[in-house]
Amino acid sequence: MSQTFQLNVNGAARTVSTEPATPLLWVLRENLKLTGTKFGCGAAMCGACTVLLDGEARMSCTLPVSAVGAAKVTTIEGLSPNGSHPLQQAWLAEQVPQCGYCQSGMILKAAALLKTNPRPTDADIDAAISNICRCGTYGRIRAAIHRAAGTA
Amino acid sequence: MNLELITRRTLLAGSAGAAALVLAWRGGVITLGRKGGVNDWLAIEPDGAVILKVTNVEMGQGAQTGLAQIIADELEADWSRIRIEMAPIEAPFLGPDGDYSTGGSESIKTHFDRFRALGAAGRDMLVRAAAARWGVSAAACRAENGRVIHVASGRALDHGALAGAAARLQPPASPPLKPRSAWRLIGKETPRLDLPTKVNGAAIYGIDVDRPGMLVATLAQSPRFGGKLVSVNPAPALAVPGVRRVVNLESAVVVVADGYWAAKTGLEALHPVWSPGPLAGVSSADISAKLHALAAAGGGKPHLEDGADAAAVLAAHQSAMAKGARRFSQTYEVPLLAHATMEPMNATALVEGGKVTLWVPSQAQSDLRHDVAKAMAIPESAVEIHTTQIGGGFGRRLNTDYGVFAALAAREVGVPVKLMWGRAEDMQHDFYRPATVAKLEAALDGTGLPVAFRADIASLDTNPFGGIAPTPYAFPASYVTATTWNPGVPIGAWRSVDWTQNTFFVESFVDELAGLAGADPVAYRERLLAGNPRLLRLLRAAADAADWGKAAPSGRFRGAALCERDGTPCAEVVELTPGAAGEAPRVHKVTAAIDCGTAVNPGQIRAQVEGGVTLALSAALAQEITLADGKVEQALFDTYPMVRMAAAPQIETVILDSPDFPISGVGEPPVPPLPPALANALAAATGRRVRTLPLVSQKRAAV
Repeated sequence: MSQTFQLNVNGAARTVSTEPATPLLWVLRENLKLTGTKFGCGAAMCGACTVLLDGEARMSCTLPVSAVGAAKVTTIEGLSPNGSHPLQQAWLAEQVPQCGYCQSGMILKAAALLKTNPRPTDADIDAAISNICRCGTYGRIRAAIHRAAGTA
Repeated sequence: MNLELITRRTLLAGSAGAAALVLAWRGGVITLGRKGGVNDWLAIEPDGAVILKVTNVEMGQGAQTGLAQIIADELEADWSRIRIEMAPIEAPFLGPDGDYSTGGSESIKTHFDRFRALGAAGRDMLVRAAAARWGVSAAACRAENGRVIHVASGRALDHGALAGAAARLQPPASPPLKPRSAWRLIGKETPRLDLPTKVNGAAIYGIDVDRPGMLVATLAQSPRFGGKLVSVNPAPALAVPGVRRVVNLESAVVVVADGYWAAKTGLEALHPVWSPGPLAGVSSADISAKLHALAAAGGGKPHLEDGADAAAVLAAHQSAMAKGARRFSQTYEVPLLAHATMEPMNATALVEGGKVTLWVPSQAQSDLRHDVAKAMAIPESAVEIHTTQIGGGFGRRLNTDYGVFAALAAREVGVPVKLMWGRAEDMQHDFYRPATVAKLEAALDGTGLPVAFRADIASLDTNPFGGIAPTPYAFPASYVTATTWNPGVPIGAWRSVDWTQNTFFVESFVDELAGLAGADPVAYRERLLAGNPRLLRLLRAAADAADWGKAAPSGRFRGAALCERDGTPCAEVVELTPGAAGEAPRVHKVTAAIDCGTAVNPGQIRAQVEGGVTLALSAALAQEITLADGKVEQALFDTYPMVRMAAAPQIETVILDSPDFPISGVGEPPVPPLPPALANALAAATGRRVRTLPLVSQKRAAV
């Protein structure tokens, strides 16, 4: 049975009506038309669907909407009002994306890392950034995180 | 240059009298240039906007930015005013064989001369228009960054203000191309035009398409290739809230719903019955055994240069073979590989009034249009295609299956349908890099150099000769045969096609020959490449940048390999620490040198090397698609593992220019050298030679 959920997405209160088991990913993409969050595997293995829940990186493809509760959801569209977040600027400075499909998840994963670790080492980045980029932009992601570190 | 350009005045709404300069091109022949019509490759609008039509999609390779650099440089355009649009799939924009596609590392090399000429012609006309307005000679004026300047007086006019007057001039018969020394965008690291939308979620990929009244669908195809849908009871899916329809297709069942989750839930509730198809009972072990037997038997179709006589080539080979001081032979094998693009296959279709409209992340628009028209039994003119951003291609989206399925499903529904494949469906219904086995043999002289070379290839692919007939080396008395055998596995183009397998064979074999000769592997290759200064320079550049010949850091070992893919040579050196038995090595660093003639955007060339190296490293370390009873065994990224950040090597790229050589592509050439360089480094480290990929096999280990 469809239920109504009150969500806090990118700072705004949103009401959606959907099956409770529906993953947050599809609520964001289909109900709220926030398509910056991507579907990669549906099995929490690739990280393309990464969003922030109260600042922590979560894979939204396996997170039922019923489990979100009052948590503040941040998607790539809400990371900054105009693409000015230090990570977004660093991503452009390092010319990180190729196809770009995984990059929303990568940027949010990096944002969560910098929140708890403002000056991550290479080893910290290795441990934290576990998402898949099929285009092989890892070296540039690493450089962009270092560039943004301390300013994010 | 036999080039003619047509210009026309075009009235713009709201700015009566202002005209655009529109330049057209068609194979060096006069064609009709018409704003908003067909063949309007380049338009300079009265407001200064420069609109460039391109036929190459953006799937991460950066080709559209490179194309814009070429035309903007010659035009002396204001880079901030460049706008790129996908050209319609119409005759003037099609390739010589009627093709409209993006692949083969061909975007830049196909359009380099044409776009230079278009830009140079536009610049010439704008300069002449300005000179006429000022009553000065054109030679006294020059174009610069979106303006024309009268040098002596400093007067200047924007390109847009001159477009209307320029459109009344005759285009030059020979556009005055800039000398290389005057290029200011070609050869410069230029930021990608599409990247701002790829860091804020705004880019619209196929999977993001939204149409009024759209439904969302997912599908299951026959788990064995070639199997057909016999029957399915739709009731369990229809009982799922949100599911609207179950559509039966010949080889698939499609569940259409209000959203993806409902469609997926509905699909999982179904129990379709499939016919077994030709692959029932077939396993990868069977395929491997058959290919090994065929390679060992030899006697396949020989590769012959045009006009060569098969018997004469074989006789010369055998005669040379008999003269060798010794012989050496080895057999190598590579598995099926999936493309596994991050954006799974998808397409959105609307079938209405005998017409099909598609929104699709495709690399092959003309093929897609043809195949959809054929499947729907409608004329190609009734198929309209809108290309979206593409979340990775690597050759997969040269196939059209996802678009055809979407159209067939939408026909049953009457509203737009977005058909999205799940990850497992994507993995298990790909068009794979062909599994291939090759037996290589050489006769060697007293110094260990080949006097004759032979390769007998057995492959699921037809005509798999790229990169081995010929090799980059001038092997004397070469004889290469191929036998094709395929029980029904779908085979496709996988980033660098034949070169992915053949470079592994050739470069592993050459490394083994170097070992037999007691020679340094790079020095041995340099002996083989004597007489090829371009490749010698390239190999030396990679070796020097990798500190080849100097001691590696403790515990690390190096291996080298090279290829030449359609005019672009690429050499790579891998530096690694071997793992314990059965474990993957840690690749620390890959040093690459690449020479594409003219480097349009060095930053994007480095990006392509980084991407190609990483894709190939994932493949070489642990990727394989295997069949059991005709079904693909891998489904997700646990069984088809990808290199992630922690395993990503440092990658250094040296870009060489060869102005005397034609410009050539960069998307594919970085892929083939990596797997053999990796195997060669491992052999240097451990003395053990890996002749079968991947290095770490979940399947072989389980046997």
